[in-house]
Parts: sequence; structure tokens; C-alpha cells
Amino acid sequence: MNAADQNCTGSLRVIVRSANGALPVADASVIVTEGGAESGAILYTLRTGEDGLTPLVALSAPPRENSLVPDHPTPCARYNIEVRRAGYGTVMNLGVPIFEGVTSTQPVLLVPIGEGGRGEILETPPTPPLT
Amino acid sequence: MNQGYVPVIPETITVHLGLPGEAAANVTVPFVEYVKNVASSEIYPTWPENAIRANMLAQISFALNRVYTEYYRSRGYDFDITSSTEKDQSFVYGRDIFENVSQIADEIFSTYVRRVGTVEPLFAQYCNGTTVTCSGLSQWGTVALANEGYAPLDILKFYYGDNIELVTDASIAGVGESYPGFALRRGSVGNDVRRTQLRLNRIAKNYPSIPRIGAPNGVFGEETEAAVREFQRIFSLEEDGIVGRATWYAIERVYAAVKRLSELNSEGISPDDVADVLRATLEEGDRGPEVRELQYLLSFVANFVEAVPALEIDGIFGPRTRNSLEQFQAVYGLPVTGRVDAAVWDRLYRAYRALYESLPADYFEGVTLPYGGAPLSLGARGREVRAMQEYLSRIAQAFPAVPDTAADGIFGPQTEAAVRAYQAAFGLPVSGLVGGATWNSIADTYRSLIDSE
Repeated sequence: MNAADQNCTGSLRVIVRSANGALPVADASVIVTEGGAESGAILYTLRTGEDGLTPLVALSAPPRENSLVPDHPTPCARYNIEVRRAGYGTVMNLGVPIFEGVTSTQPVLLVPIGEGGRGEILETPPTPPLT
Repeated sequence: MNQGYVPVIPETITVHLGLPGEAAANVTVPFVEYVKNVASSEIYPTWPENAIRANMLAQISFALNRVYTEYYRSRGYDFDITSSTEKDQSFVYGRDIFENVSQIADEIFSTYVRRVGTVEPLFAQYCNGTTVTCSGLSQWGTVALANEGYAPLDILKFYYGDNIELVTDASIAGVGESYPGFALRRGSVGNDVRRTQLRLNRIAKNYPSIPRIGAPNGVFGEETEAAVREFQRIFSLEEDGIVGRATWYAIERVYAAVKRLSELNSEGISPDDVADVLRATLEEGDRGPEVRELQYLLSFVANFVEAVPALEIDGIFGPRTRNSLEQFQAVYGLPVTGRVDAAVWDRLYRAYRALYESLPADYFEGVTLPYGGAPLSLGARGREVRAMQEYLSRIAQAFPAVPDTAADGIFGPQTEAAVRAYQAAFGLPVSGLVGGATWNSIADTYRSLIDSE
């Protein structure tokens, strides 16, 4: 990342719900890490409020211009998000894209899965396909 | 084929997460959520707004064309569209959504393109315009056109020809109430305002940060505006305190989700003797109360797990029940057999209990708690007992044959006496035990009393 990149940011908010959106999940723990690497550095440790929302956080992103020309290798930055809550399956979102000046909302549906349940790993492909 | 009928915007769309013939899950999502996901997956949110809008109109029209022509369903598939960019358009299940795209989708999800003189949504093919070119719209080309000052419809005409038009405000299937056609705001008065107030108050039971509207009287005052703003904040809408199209339909969708969960109450579990049910082995072609039980449990799970389709509870084990069961087996790590044996019943009941117990305590205020799946008897404690006592206590006011009972959450002798009296008065076998049949009868009686107040 060059010096110019450091000044560019986008925003992220994680929204945690259950029952296909009929219920917010309060008090879920949300960990945002650098994308790509196996164990990226932890950037934020957040908690959802009674509305199921985390605060809006800023994340660095490459300059907007990168996404305005075809085939640029880094139109956006990538982050991983892990959402945990006791009694629910853990959900991992990998490769979540963040663009400069854009707010991303990451919806997370937790399933109160009980004993013997398992979590879910969801991955966003490396670049939007642009078919 | 549907040709000749005026297209409607479907309430939901079923997406196959792979190529048509490939084994992959289907997910059913609200149409507007589908639009947000496709736009976030296909293009960049940094593009000029008119380019984004033109692309989204093409994406919406493409999807509606698939639905309208029953492209996949007429070929025997159980979905409307695939997530394959080769066949259809990208849909990345569970991905993040860009806020600007989301707000545009809320505004235009019922707008589509058609050829002048036809009713069918345009089969709006598109490609990226660099590595893949086609006769339709070029995604990167829209950026250049928008920068030259083209409006969304002009961009679309550039690619699809001049004889196209936009259909705005198409009617939306399955939604409780259609948008009245004008925005509700501070000072508005009438039935639409009252309906909005009642819905917001109901949603607030699940989303307690939405302030309650003390007097839902059809007058749009300060309280209503505060509730609307908080709803808009939680659901990523523009926070203007005004109920325009986007907010109206978002309220309808959330209200429907909230209602669906609470309406499963008395539908399903009915046999009093759960132990017998646990032994039944079921497969396609079976009928009867055990099948109803299975369908109820699957439908309850479907409220929490998108990959498991909800079912009509009709007691007939047909292909839909089998499909829903197989999805359940896949999600919960069981062998996918499409048959129900003791292990499947066990997993279904455990899944049901876990989901049931995750519902907040005050969730069923004003509605009744569904049957918990296991009979209650002397010595039982907890939330279900307390709820049942509240129902019986209200019933006791109307039916003197039923003695009053304290709502202390403990199934003691006094509660048992009330249960026995209730069973005698309502023609149920007098056992003092509250299984599905007794629970549902008590809940129905309670609801009918509440509704008549």
C-alpha cells in the first residue's frame, strides 16, 4: 500500500439479525480483520446494540479512481468479519469489499442452532465478476 | 407461460446458487434484497449514479423476464433464476450491500424496462464490455455514457434501442398493502397513517429501539416521525422521517417477517402424545398428523434458515415437503435421504427448541406462544408455563367454570386444577397435562378473547 492509500477510507456497519430479519441480535461480538492473510491483524472488536447494529467504522481503501477504470487489480480493499454470539452458529464473511467513500452494510443472519449445530463461512469472490 | 398477463413484481425470488443442473442450494429472498445483492455483485458502487441506475434497471428487467417467462420453472426446475453469470447474473449469498445501491434499489425495485407495445419485461442482456462483449449493455460503457451526461433511460436506449420505455410503480405481489401513491409525513392524517403506526408498534416489539407510538390514532405527529426515523436508521433507509415508497414497502416487508414468525403458533403441533410421533418413520407419499407435525417443524426452522423452504401444512408428504426436508438435512449435517427416521425427528426437535428458546421473552406479547414441543405437567416451570397461566387467567374471567390461576411460571396444583377444568369445559380429554392439542385450544380461546376486546 502506498502513502496515498492511507488517506482513503470507506465505512462498514455490520447488522446482525435472526429469523430472516424478524429479530435483531443484540450483544453479538463482531471482529473485523485484514482480509487476505490467514490470520490478518484485528482492526476492530465491536458489539451489536439492541437494534442488532454495530457502530459505523472506518476502514482504509484504495483510491476511488481504481474502480473507475476496467481491470485495475485493486479496485477495493478486502476484510474478514467474524460474528459470534453464545447459542448461535458463528458466521464468517471473508473478502468483504470496501470502496473509498462508500458505506458497506454487512447483513449477518445468525441461526440459534443449539447443541450439535455448526456455523457458516461465506466468501465474497475476489473481484466483482462484471460479466 | 404467462404471456398476456401484466407482470407483477414478485414478493420473493428463488435463486439457485450454481449452474442450472448443478447440485446447489436454493435460497428464497425478498425481491428487493435480490436487486441490492445483484447490483452490489455486478458493478462498482463508486460509479456515477446514472450508470448505477441504468445497470440496476437492466438487472431488474432481466430477473423479471426470467420470472415472467418462467424460464427455469417451465423446464422443470424449482427456482426462478441462477447465480451463474454464464446463464443469468451474479448473486453472492450473504454478501455485504453498498448503502448507495441499497437506497436506489428501495426506490426503483418495482421499475423495469419493456419494449413499447409489449408487456414482457425486457430480456436485458449485458456484459462487461471489456473481456466479454455482447449485443446488450456494456457495464463499463455505462460509466463513459454517464460521464457524458446521459440519463439512465438514455443509457438504456443507447444499448437496447429507442423503442423501450420504463414501467414505474408496477404492482407488487403478496405485499399486505400497496403504497397509497403519496408520501405520509408530519401532519398527514388517515387510515394509511394509522396502519403505518400499528405496524411500527408491532415491529417495535421485536426491535425495541423503535419508540412506541402511544396513540396510534391516524395522526402523523412527532412520535410517529421519531418511530419512522429509527426504523429508517435500523433498515438502512434515508433518515428523513417521511414514509415514501421505499419506507412504506420496507415497513410492509419487516412487518410480514415479524408476523410470519408469530403466526405459526397454532398451525402445527397437535398430537398430545409426542412419544408416538417420535417413533414414526415418514417418507414421500405418507399422509396424516405426523406429516403435519413434520411440516410445522420444518416451517418453523424455515423462519430462521433461508435454505430451508417454508411449507404449506396440509399433512401430505409431497415433493415440496421432501425438498424442504432434504435442505434441512443438508444444513444440519445429516445424511440427505428425504426420509424421516428417529435421528431426523431428534434433530428437528432439538433445532426447534433452540430456535424457540432464542425468541425474546416479550416477543409474544399480544400474540400467543407456539406450543413448545413437549407436554407440560405438574412440576413444570418456565416461560411456557407462565404464558399458559396468563392465558388461563384471562379465560377464567370469561368462563366461570375455569378457576383463576396465578401467573408465577410454576405448574402447581392450582394450575393443574385450572387445566382440568378447562379441558372439561372445552370437550378435551381431562388429563391435567398440556400437550399440543390442549395448548392450541387454550391459545386459540385466549386469542379470540383478546381479539374481541
